Amino acid sequence: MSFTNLLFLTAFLPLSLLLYHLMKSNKARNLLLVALSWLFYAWGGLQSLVLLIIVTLWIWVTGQALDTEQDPQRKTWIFRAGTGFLLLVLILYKYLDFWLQAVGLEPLNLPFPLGISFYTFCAISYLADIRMQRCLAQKSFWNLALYLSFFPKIAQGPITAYHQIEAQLVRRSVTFQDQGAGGLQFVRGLAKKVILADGLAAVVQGLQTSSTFAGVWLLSLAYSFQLYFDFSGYSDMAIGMSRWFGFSLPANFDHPYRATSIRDFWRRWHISLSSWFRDYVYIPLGGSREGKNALIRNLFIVWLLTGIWHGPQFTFLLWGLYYALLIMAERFWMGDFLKKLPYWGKVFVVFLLVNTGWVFFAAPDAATAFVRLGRMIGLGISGFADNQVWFWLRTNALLLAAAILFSGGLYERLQNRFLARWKQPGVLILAGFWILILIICLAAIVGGTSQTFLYFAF
Amino acid sequence: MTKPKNRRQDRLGNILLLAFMILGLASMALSLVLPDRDRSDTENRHLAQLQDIRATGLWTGQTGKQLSDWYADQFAGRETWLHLDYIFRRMEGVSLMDDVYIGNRMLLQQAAAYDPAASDARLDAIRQFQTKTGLPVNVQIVPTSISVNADRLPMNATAGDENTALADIQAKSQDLGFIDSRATLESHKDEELYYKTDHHWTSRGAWYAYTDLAAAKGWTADASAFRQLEAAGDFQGTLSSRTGDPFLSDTVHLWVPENGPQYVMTKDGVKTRTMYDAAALDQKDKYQVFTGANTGLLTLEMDTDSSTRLLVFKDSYFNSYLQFLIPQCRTITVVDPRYYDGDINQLLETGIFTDVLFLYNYSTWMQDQSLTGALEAVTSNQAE
Repeated sequence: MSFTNLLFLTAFLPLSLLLYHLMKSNKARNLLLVALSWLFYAWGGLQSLVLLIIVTLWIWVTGQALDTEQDPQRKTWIFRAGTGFLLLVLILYKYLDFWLQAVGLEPLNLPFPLGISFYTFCAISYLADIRMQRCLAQKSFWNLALYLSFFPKIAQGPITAYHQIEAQLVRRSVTFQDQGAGGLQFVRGLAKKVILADGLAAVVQGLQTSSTFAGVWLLSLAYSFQLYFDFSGYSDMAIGMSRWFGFSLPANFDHPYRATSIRDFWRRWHISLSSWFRDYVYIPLGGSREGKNALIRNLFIVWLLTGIWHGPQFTFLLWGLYYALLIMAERFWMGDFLKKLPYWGKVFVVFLLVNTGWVFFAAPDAATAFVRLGRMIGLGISGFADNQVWFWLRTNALLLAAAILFSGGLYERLQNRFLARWKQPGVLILAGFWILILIICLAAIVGGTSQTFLYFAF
Repeated sequence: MTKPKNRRQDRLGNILLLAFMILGLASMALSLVLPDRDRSDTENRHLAQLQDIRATGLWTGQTGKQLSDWYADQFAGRETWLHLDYIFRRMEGVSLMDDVYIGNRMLLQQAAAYDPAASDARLDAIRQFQTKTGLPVNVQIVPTSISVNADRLPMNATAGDENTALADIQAKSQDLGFIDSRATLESHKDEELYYKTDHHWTSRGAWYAYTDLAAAKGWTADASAFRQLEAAGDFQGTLSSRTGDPFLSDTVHLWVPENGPQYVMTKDGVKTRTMYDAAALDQKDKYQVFTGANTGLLTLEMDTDSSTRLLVFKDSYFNSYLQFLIPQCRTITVVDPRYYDGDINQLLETGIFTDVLFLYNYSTWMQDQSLTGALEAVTSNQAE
């Protein structure tokens, strides 16, 4: 089920909240959330739910074994076997068909389980946290099942590390502040997805074949903003509704297009994924502590894995490699260049580099990506602009302007000032504004103009 | 202690949560309480029904999808929500919805892209049909609304390559009695030749195209020989359905031959004395007043001395064109290959046909592959 499914928004979620608040004990609430999460997940097919339960059982058993085993060598082998199985499952469902087809063999055509990349990384985090003695194994199967399958985050994250949420599985409460912060974040996320991301999706779709200079630039810019609002909108909805159930999930985005360096960008974009790679791959490999050569090796490994995590296609590998090179360039020479620039100069250069990276991400194949990149510097273009470009630019000018403004922190600043200036009447005016936004979103969803979340593909 | 500003934000968020819960639960309750509807007139389609949901799809997720579709289709106030969506999107500046441009007081569907190879293959099939049957053939591929009304498109929107494509098709089909109606329709473009809310042409548009055929065949084409009747004034066609536009509507006119011959139309085994289906005027799709719902085969037999026995291969544009042929022909046999599952050879074996007409609009000509299949069956059979 998707967050923009009408049944989810107007039935599943409100009823889940009502039921949750009818339960008195934390244990009952957890059991209810597991049941609801499994129902949410089974909506896409029981076959995917069976796999999720197998994975949950596997890490529960492996976690207990890791906890009780005293011999360090055997502990290592248990951990390797535990994560190895998880990675094998991920490869089987996400990568194997692509590789089989690449060598001319018949694909298995296994159904793609929603969110498998996300929950596999959560599962690995659980085993790694026990292995690194950050946490003890979860004694309750149902608490562990809730960690892995909690419906706000299972399909698209945030990839919450186990140690970040362990205490909340046992004890949590829902305050007036939680409800309020969750409400604002949820509605804002819905608006980001349905109004901005889906509006920009039409521009991206309309300009797929554009061969003019302005056309490919508009295509790439529209995609950059679409991807941001699509994914951060989902994350906002996930984090917002989690707070309604008493969970405080870590932030996944922090105005990434305001970043002043590439490393700063990755501290602001898909934070949960970059944190996961930092904590469970980069630092265990030695990070930057073992000299320049080891650092270069570690960066390559992390960024190639980050690319591959998104999918087996060559474009994602290129995208990962692109960031490995950019991060190294920034560490060894580009960083000084960036530091000399004024604030907006840094933001502009970093955005251009990120926008270039998304060209690989968006293209169906590497050849198309390179053709588009060539056209962005004037190679192989059919002209500067044509009617098609002006049409999309003119009819979506409002949307593009809103996308640029809302990707910064302007809205938050305006809202804070408005509330400080107008106090209680300001609350009511803003409530009216956001309820109108909610109605616009519902109308778009009923109208069928809402699109699937882009990160469902991962 | 929480700052006042944050407390205000919390109050704002709690109001939103409350609004979300009320909106959601009220919509759900209404959706479940109100009786399910069979079809949506606004969208011009059947709606998903609860009894069609099968538990056999639980394993694959098909059942979940069916339940979601049913709930969305039966959502309380669905049609109001659709119109709201249209209004909000227009306010955002959107001028293209589901391949339909919101033009100047007119909805304009994007035409299919020109695929010369596919078009040439269809022309070749007709050529072989002509050779095998020895019947005189006319091909009339008429422009769609977007080509004729390009000046009503939103700024910077383009009509595509339809006009160039039709010129190319004409150049390649001189031996097939090609009738080019572009200039005729262009010269009358201010006369509402196409519906504003539907993808079809009006009776007037069909009339001007008919005058081109009449000129080629030596038939009379006198508009005063037809009585123009206003059949419906509130027609909101397929393009309204696709966009959700609640504002535009059309008038449907019939051009009934005055002092025309008596005739009998046979469709799906039912004989009637008129080609007009008055019941359609009470339905959403009022264009169906012309011969009713699409069917594979229908025949008209006129009480007249004409020796013309016409065989027509067509799409739905022909339905309103038919009224002009009644005074000219002894019989008209109309085949819509998209719906026809009979044997065209059997039709031809009657040996009665004197003329053949292929009438398509440009988009159907480019997209529909059923004509080639139907004609290939004829030619392969004749060759045996």
